[in-house]
This record gives sequence, C-alpha cells and structure tokens, in this order.
Amino acid sequence: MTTQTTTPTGRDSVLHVTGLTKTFGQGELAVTAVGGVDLDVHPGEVVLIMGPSGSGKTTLLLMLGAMLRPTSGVVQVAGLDIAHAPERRLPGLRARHFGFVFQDFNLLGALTVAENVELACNLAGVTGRPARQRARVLLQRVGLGQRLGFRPEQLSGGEKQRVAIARALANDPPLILADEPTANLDSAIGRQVARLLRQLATEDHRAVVIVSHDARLEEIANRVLWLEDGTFRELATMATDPVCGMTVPQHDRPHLQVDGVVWWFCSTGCREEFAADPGRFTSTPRAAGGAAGTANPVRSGVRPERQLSDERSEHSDIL
Amino acid sequence: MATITPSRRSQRSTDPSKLVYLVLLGGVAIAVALIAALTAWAAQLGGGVWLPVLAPFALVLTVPLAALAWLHLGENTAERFQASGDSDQRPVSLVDRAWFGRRVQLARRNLFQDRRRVLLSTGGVAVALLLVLVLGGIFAGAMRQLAGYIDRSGADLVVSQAGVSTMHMSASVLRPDIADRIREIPGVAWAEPIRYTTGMVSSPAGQAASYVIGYDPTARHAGPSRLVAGHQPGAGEAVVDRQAADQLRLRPGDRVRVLGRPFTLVGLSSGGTNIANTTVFIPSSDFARLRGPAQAYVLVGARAGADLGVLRARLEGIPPGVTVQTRSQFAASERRIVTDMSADLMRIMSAIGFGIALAVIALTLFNVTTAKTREYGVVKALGARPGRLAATVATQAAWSVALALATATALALLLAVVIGRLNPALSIWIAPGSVLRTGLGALLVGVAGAVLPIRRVLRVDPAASFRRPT
Repeated sequence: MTTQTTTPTGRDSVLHVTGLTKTFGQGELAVTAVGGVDLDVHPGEVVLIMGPSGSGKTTLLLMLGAMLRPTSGVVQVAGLDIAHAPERRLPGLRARHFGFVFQDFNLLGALTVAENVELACNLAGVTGRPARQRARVLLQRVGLGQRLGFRPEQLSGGEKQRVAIARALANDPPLILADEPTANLDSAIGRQVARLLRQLATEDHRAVVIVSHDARLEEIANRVLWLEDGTFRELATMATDPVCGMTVPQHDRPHLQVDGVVWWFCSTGCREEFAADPGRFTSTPRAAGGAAGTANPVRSGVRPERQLSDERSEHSDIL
Repeated sequence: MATITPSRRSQRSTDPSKLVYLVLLGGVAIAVALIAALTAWAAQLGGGVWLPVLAPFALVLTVPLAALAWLHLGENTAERFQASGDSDQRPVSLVDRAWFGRRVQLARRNLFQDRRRVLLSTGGVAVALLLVLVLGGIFAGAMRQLAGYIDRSGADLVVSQAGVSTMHMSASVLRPDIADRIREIPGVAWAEPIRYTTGMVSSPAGQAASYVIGYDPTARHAGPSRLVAGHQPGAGEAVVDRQAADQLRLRPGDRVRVLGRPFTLVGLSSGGTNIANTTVFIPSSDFARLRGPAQAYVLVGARAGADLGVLRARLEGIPPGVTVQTRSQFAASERRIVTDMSADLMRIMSAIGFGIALAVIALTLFNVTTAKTREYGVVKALGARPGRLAATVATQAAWSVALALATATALALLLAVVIGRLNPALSIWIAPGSVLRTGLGALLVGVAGAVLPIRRVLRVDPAASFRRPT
C-alpha cells in the first residue's frame, strides 16, 4: 500500500488524516472501500483526488466531511478529531468547519439564490440582517450580485455551481470539500468554476479538497492524488488516455506502442480508436508535450506549489 | 474578501426595539381588527354576545401562531448556542430573537412552493374541519331552538311536577290552583301557569309534530315571545309558528287542526320551530276542555332583589312537592336530552371528520417531505441538526392546520348564514366553544400527521446529498 500524500512544508495542516479505513460488511462479505489512507492538507492548498469509479473517492470524501463514520483511523479538522466525535456534535462541526460543493449543485428549489446562501449562514449561527448581508457579499463575489432573487431553476449550470460555492463559504470554513464540481458543466464554465476554487485557496487561504474525474482540474491543483482500490497510488505509474482524457494506471490497462512511445488507454475501445489514426490524437492539446498517455508522465505524486496568474485568466471577469 | 463571522452577532450597534414593538403592535392590531370584524359580522347575522364570541376565536387563531413563534424562536436559540460553541455567550434577548433571529423560512417556503398542492391539501383539511364544525353547528342551533320558548319566557324559575325537569319527551301534572299558591309566596312577582302536551298540528297540506301550549292570552310571559302576524288567540283560535305555517301552507284565517280539534289560525309567532318540532299556542281554557284542568308548568318571576335560592326553597316546599329550576337550568336539562341522544352520532361524525383531516395532513406532509428528501439531506450535510428538520415539518403541520381552520371557520359562518336564509328551521350556530374544540382537535391531528414525516426526515442520510439523483 502506498500512501504518499504529505507535503513536507512544516505548516499546520487544516486536515490531518491518519490510517483512515472504511470497511462495509463483516467477515467474508467485508469490503474495504478505503484502506489506511494518510493525508495532510494545508491552508491555501488545492488537493485533487482522482481515481476510477468505485475506487473509494466519495467514501473518503464523506469521511472527511463528517458524514460517514470511519472503521478506523483519525480525521482531524482544525485540530478537532471528527472521526471520534459524538454523533450529536457532527452537525455543528459540519456547519462550522466545512464548505461543501456538490456535483449536482444541490440548491434548494424553494429558496431564492440569496436564501440558499443565507440558510447556510443560519446553520452556522448567523441570522437576520447579518446573514442577508453576508449572502449578498458572497454572491457578489462570485459574480451573481444581480441574481439574488432568482430561483435555482432560473440559473444556468455554471451559475448554480457558483451559488453552491458561495453557500460553501457562508460559514467561512477553513476546509472546502468538492465532489465532482465540474462534472455537470461544459468546458468553459468548468474552467471558470475550477479557477474560482483555486482562488478560494490562494486568496482566502482555505484548504480545498476536490474529488473528480475531470483532468482539467489538474491545472489548479497543488497536488494530484490517485485513489484506487481505496488507497493512494503513485502518480508516476499513471498515464492519460489520449482519446478520452481519463487518467489511468499503467499496470493493468490496454496499451500500444507507436514510434517507440507507449500509449495507455482506459479501454480497448479507446485503443482501437487511437490505432486507427494516431496522428489525430497525438496532435491534440491533451497530448501536447508528448506526455499525455505515454509511459513517461510529467506528473508526480507531490507537485510543487503553483502560482496561478488569475489576472491573466480569460475568466477573470467573474473573479 | 469582506467576511462577516458569527462573532459579529455580538457587535450590533443599533437598538431596533422600537421598530420591533411597532411591528408587533401593528400585527396584533390588524389581527384583532380582523377577528373583531369577522365576529361582528357573525354576531350581526347569527345573534349572540360579542365578547364570548370574540375571545375563543382569538384564542383559536393565537394557538397556531404562538406555536409557530415558539418553534421559530426556540429553534433559533438552541442552534445559535450550539453553533457558537461559546460557553460565555451572553443570553439572547427576546428583541434580539425577534429581529436578529429571523431565519430563512424553509418550512413555509417548501410547503408553499407548490401552490396547487397547498390549495388542495388546505382545502381537504378545511372541508374535513368544516364537516366537524357544521355538524356541531347544526346541533348547537337545534339546541338553541329547542329551548327557545323557555329561554325567551323571561321567567326566573320554572316549576314542574316533582321529578320532571324538561318539556321534551316529558309530561308534567300540577294541581290546577298551583299558580295561585305560588303567587302567595313572598318574593314572587308573578306566576303564570301553562298547560302542555305534544301532539300534531295539521292542515290539508300536511301535519307537523308540535309542542301544544295552553296559556292565558292576557298574561305577559306564557305566550309566544313574538307575534309576527295577527293577534293573541281567543276561544277556538290558535297561533302557529311562522315556519310551520309556511310548511303547512296556512295563513291567518285558515282552519288548522290541533290535538284533533279545529281551530282558527289568528296569529303567527317566530322562533318556535326547531329541527324536531314546532310550537302551537291555544287558550288555556280550550286546552282544559281537551285534556283536563291540570296545569303542567308554572313560570315564575321573582321580585327585584329577591334571593332566587331562598325563593326556590320556598317553592319546593309546596305540597305534595314540585321540581323548581332556574330558567337556565331548565333549558340546559332540555338540551341535555337531545345531546345525550345525539352524542354518539356526534362523536362518530366528528371522528370521521378528524380522521379525514388527519389523513389529508399526513399525506400532504409526507408528500412534501418525500419530495424534499434529498434537499433535507443537503441541509443536514450543511449542518442542520435533526431538531431543526423536525421543527421544519412541525411548522408545516402548524401552517396547514392554521390555514385550514381559518378557512373552515369562515366557510362555516358563511354556510350558517346561507342555510339560515334558505331553511330557517335548520339553524346552524357556530359556537365559539365548538371552534375552539375543533381547533385544538385539529392541532392534535396536525401533530399526529407530522409523526411519520418527522420520522422520515430524521432518518435522512446527509451522505445522500453526494449520491446522484435517480
């Protein structure tokens, strides 16, 4: 088992996880969804957790978010052990220490945009006029100051996710947990949301943990972790499918050697599509630099902190 | 980024108490004005006394509002302390709670999001409560009419044969000179005997069951309380209640048969017909010729300042013994007979009404809760405690009950007026006590209806918010 996850910076971590394990069932029927994961996330850091479906990503996120009790291990958020906290304290911990961003936005349909954020303020203990002011400020920050009275059904997908991000900030959390935040968004909007999440880390000094299949999010991540079979794997053994863009482990996936370079694929279908016309895929941005899909990826398990230049972003208008 | 942290709650600089009190006073004033207007309207149309009508209505409307306020404020306080986690947090004043504690009204917004559903469910509950109210109103109206003769007689005491306490389904026999003996007793201002039996009054158009009262037409208190046409009867003449006369197609001057003998109809009275029978007045001498000289009851008026208790004791001493009741006691005895006869029916029908209300409320809340299960999971994931979610459902129940009760009460009052105009014999009296009882019953129904949805919402898994909707 490999659990290379810690950034040796010496800073105090917002999230500290040790030996985190979740097993469903007992005896011969027992299934270990997450096994012995160690992780430290620091303020201002964006950690992207990737992995195939069923690898335990969501289970891990639920445990990190105090919504699923681990079988064993320690989860500390801002110094508080949430893994062993009494059940009655968990709602309060969630309300104060976490911001959640969901794949399906999960806005409340009966409430306006402002009320969705205000409700999260209420749950954090801020009520009345201060809550309304805070909701307004947060929505203005994500570029939705003109949509305060709108219903979620009146918003586009990108706007909904920005409302969800504003809601996640309502309690001023040190840690934001995002589950597939760009999955339901098109490429441009997904990039906007990604950079917004990055901004929360760099400007507000929050820790952001993202669980996603979306390789575009690697651009804003300080670290990319690969979760498979409930444990973190070395990214050095990972490659990107040049056809579909999925990150895949090299050891058990179809591959093809073309002109001395080995390409890895998520499935035989992608391999056959690639084999039919390799030039079509090797010239795409995904394969730019000759790294994607090859046996010589540029990524590593620990990525040095990146300084993103948000001012130059084509989406800086919403930031 | 401009942030407002929870700790800023303690940094309020303005004192909004005046505004809060103004708003509260304004709300109370508007509520009282509405209730007063409604009650005045009802009182004007249906009769009755202002204050006893106003108070229960106000109480019924106040109970659900108070429950809402209690849920709202109680929930605020609990969660603010829980959220703060500060042991040194200063207590939150009532003004703070009312003004600064205002929260997003998730319960109301969820309930009213689908207005058609609210309309249908509120209508369903309102109809069920209307059934209970109108049923009670019909019986209350019948009770009022049933004892109408005694109620309007002006007597302080009513004397009857020993052991007889009612007119309905009773026969009372007193010696013929009983009234003279009563008049001799100190403290008695007047005493007027009546002869009484039940029988049929008929015309070529039909017949009606009737109280037949023989009285002295020259006396002030024993006859019909109000003549709407004609005059007091002489020998061979009768006065019939207007509603019965309409039913029997009789007009003054027509012949009518009373106790099998023909009489000339010379007058029409009012207020003597109820759901069971009508009232016919004939001269006491004619009654004596038909049924003998015995008297049935004596209406007694006390002198001003006389002690009714003492007077009653003196009357009870008349040999060979009589039953003496105050007017209200006699009327209550009269009503009790019918109430006892109809109590089971009332209970069954009310139970059915409340059962329907329970089913509608439970179904509505369950549907709303089921439709919002995922959203409740999201709210739970965001940090809502189970108590807040339960309070949300309970608040929806309170809203449903309050709206339905208000609607049912308004409809019942309207129905009472309309039916009273269409069929004067069928009086519907929406008694304040009945509204109060129905309101309390509806609240219990609301609580019962919220049990299943609350159980469901408490079991919502916050992790469900991370799963894809199916």
